[in-house]
Amino acid sequence: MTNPRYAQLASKALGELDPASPPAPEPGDRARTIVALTRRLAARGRRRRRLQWAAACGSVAAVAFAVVGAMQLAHRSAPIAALTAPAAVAGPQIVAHPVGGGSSVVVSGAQAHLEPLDDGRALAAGSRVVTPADGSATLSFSSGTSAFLHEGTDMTLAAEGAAQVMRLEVGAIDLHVAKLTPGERFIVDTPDSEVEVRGTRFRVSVVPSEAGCGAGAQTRVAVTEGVVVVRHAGVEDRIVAGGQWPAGCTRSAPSPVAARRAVPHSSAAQGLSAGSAGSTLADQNDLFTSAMSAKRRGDGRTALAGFDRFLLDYPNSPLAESAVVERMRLLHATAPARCRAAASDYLAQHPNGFAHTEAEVILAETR
Amino acid sequence: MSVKNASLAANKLWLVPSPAPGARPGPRGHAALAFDDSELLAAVRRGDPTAATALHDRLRPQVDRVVRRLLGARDPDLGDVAQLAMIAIIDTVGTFRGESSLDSWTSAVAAHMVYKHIRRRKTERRLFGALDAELLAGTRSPSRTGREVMMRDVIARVVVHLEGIEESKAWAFVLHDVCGYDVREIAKITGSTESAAQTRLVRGRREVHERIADDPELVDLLESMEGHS
Repeated sequence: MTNPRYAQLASKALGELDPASPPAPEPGDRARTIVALTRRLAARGRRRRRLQWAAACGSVAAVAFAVVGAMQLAHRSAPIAALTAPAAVAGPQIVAHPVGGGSSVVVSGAQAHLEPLDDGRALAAGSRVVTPADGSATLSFSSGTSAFLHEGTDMTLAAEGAAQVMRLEVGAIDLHVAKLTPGERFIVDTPDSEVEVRGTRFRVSVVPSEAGCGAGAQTRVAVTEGVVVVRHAGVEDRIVAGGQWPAGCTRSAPSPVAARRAVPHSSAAQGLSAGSAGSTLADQNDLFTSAMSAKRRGDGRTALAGFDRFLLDYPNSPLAESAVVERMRLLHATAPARCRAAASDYLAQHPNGFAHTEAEVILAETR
Repeated sequence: MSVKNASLAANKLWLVPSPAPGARPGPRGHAALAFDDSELLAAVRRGDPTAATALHDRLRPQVDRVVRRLLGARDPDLGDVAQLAMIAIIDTVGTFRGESSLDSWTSAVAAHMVYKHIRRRKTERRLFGALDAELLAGTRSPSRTGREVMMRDVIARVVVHLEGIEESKAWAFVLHDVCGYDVREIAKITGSTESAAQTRLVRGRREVHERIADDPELVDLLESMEGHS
C-alpha cells in the first residue's frame, strides 16, 4: 500500500482541535455529578456486601451440602448386613402379643421348631413370627413403637439396637414407629425392597407381583402419617402421608379396616371387631368399645391388643387420645417400661391433653 | 443534565466540598489530594461513598477532555455524557488492572461512552459534531490569524471526507491517529476484536488518504499547512 501521507496530515490537522485544558465544570454540574457518583458508590458498596454475604452463605451451604452428601453416601452404601451386626446401643425390648386364639407361633433363631406364641413373650434379634391365616399379633417395643402383624404374615426381627430391621417375607405389617433419636433407624426389609421410616405410621405388605406394575415388585407400601423411604432396584422413593408405593398398582396394600373385614376373626379378634360392617366411624366406635369392654371385664390382654389395633388403624381418630390413655393405664400395672414409653408418647402428642397430669406422674414414678 | 439526574439530586440535601480557592482543575484536583490513585481505586472498588469527590476531581478533567474532543465542545449532551462516563468508571473499575495508566484507562472508558452515545443518537451521528468557530478558536495557534483560517478550512474538508467513509473505519482512524488510542483500546471502545480494529484502522487510513488525494484543493492546503509548521 502507498504511504498514506495525506491521512497523516489530516490527523495532524484534526489534532489541532485538542482541547488540552477543558474549562472546569460549572459548580452546579460538579455538585450534581458528585452526588450521582456518591449514590453509585453507595449502591456498589451495598451490592458488594450482598455478594460477600451470599458468598459466605454459599460457602456454608456448600460445606453443609458436602457433609450431608457424604453422610447420605455413607448411609446408602451401608449394606443391610452391616446393620444386622450387634449394635453398641441396647435395643428396645420387644414383646409379642398374639391376637386371634393364640395360633401365632415363633420360630426362634436357627432352631427350626415351632412354639406357640405366648402372650408377653420377649423377642430377641433373629426371632421369626408367623401368623396363621386366622390369627394376628401385635409387637410392642419399649421405645413406643408398635406393629400389627396381619393374618398370614411371616416376619423376622433381623436386627435390634440403633438400627432396627424387620424382614418381611410375606403378609402385611402395620407400623407406628415412635420418634427416632439421632442415629436410630427403622427399616422393613422385603424380598425386593427396603422401606425405611422417616417417622411414623405406614403399612408394608408383600403380595404377588403384578404385570406392568412397579417393575414386578412384590412390596406394597401405604403411608398413613409421616414419611417413609422405599428403596427398590437401586432407586429410592420418598412416600409421604396418603401416598402408596408403587404408584398406580391395582393390588395395593389393603386398608386396615378392609383387611380386618376380609379375614374372619376368632375368639378375641372377633370380639374386637363385632359390628364391623358399618361405616369407618362405626368401625372406630366398635373397636374402641370392644377394647373398653375387654378392659372392664378384666381381660387386659385383649383390651391392650384392641387399643393397639385402634391406634394403628385410626391414628387420627377423635378417640385416639383416649385410646392412648387407656393403653397407658393398662400398661401401668403390668409393664412399667412400656407404660413409661406410652406416657412419654402421650405427652409428646398431647402436651396439654386431659391426662397430661397422669402421664407426668407415671413418668415421675418410673424414673 | 438529564431530568433523571436532576430528580435524584433534588431528593436529598447533599454537602459537596467546594473547590479550593484559586485551584485550577487539573489532573490532581483539590479533593483528590486526600487519596493517591491506589487508595482512590481501592475506595471505589469497595463502594466507599466518601471517595466520590476525590474520584470526580481526579478523573473529571480527563473525561471532559475526551468527551469534548470526540463530541464537540458545544454539544448539548456534553455534561450528561461526561457524567455517564464518570459513573461507568465506577461500574467498570474492576476491569482496571494497572496495565496502563489510570488516565489512559479513564480516557478509553470515556471514549467508549461517547462512541455509544453517538451510535445511539439518531439525528446526528458524526464525530466532531461541534466543529464550529468556537472550537476553532480553541486551536493551538491563536496568534496566527491567517493560519487559523486555513486550519478551519482544512478541518472542515477533512471532516467531510471522514463522513464519507464507513463509520467504523472513521472511528478507528480518529481514535488511533488523532486521539492516540492503541488498537487494544480501540477494540474496547468500539466493542470489537483487536484484529477487526486493526483492519478498520488500516482501511480507514487508506480511504482517508485516497479521498484526500482526489481533492487537490485540500491536498494543497495540507501541504501548505505542513510547510508553515
